[in-house]
Amino acid sequence: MDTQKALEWISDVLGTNGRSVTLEDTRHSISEWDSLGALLLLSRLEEDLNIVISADEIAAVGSVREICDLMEKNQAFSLS
Amino acid sequence: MARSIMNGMVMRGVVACLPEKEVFNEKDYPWFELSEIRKITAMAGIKSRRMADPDTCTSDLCCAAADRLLECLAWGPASIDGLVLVTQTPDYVMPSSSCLLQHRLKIPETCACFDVGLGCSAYVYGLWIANSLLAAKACHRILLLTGETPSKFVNPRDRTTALLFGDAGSATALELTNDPDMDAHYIMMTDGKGAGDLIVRGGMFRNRFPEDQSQCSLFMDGAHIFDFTRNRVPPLINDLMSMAGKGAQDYRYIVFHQANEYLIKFLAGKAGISLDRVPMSISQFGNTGAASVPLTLALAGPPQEASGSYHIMLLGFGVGLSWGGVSMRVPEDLILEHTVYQSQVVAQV
Repeated sequence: MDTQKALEWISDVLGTNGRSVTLEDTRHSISEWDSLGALLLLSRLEEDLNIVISADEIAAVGSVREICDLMEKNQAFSLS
Repeated sequence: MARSIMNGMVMRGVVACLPEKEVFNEKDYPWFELSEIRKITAMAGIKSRRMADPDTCTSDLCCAAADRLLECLAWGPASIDGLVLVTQTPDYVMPSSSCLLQHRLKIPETCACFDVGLGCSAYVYGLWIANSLLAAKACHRILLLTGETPSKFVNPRDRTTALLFGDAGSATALELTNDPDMDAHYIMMTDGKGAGDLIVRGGMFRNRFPEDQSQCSLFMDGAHIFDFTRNRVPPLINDLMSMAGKGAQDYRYIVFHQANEYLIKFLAGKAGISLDRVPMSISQFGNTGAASVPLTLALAGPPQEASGSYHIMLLGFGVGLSWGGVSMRVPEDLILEHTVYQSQVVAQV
């Protein structure tokens, strides 16, 4: 998965109504990234990408870049 | 450690009762984006739910289920000497709704009645309590009633919870037996540090009349509940099977609390349980809290191929945080039925 695909995947999971998120977006700039958004991220990371993280880990993530870092760390894709 | 093996109890019947009104997630919530609804319902696996009318309480659904159950079994109310209601939505702060139900079901004064305040784990805790009372010969016939009307504490505009919960009640007939084959293995667990993950903060005595009315609606930290379930239920299943000396293939039914379809499939897969042994009701009826396990069992109905008694495993997990399971044998002629509630006026006390 490349960066563009990763951003599309995150937009889809959070349900941003067609608006594609960017690496600069944060939890505060995406209204759909609330507690339900966190749950959707948690479940879809596992379901789609086989990345198992805890609720506390997902709560600590504050930006789209950090989600991408997490995915990269788990070898779901490379940011470079 | 709350692990126990008990004899002395046989389950004779389970009847679930559903409100008539059906609500559909995609149709009945126009204030949410359809794409958002689809995302949530795809994750949770919930298409529709039943909703009690404003005048119908959990006790009404349980009462109707109990009436039908007693009729099916031809048990006279006078033969009941124990009634346990497990719910988080009783009629009143006080008295216990079980007392009202004793009167409504025409059960004599010689019956012990009490409420227990648990939700997702209600059914397994209720069975554990009932089995303890029967094994001690403190009672001979117990009605275990479990149910919930979450529609009364869920804010329909809260997208985290609005599309997930349904109303239902259940009644289970349990009887003292000398049959040594009717053994049951129980594990009961609790982690109160997660109490704030699924909570209605207002309305009781810690916060009797909250200024912020949202405190009277359900709050759910879905990610933490998801995490809790994913981490705690697999060892529960393994420990129960190990305690009972059984494998997944030994159970006719393994009934999970109906919280999330994806999670149920995940948990079943992790435990090597074939989905044909895992009945589900969540798609049609949502998460019915205390009623979800007996409702799912009742809807599954008697197994087609049963010849003689068979084993079931029942698993409850959630609000509390509280979780537990039972591995038990049930008789071939176990009654498993469901009924629809006919609205009626129930006078306030």
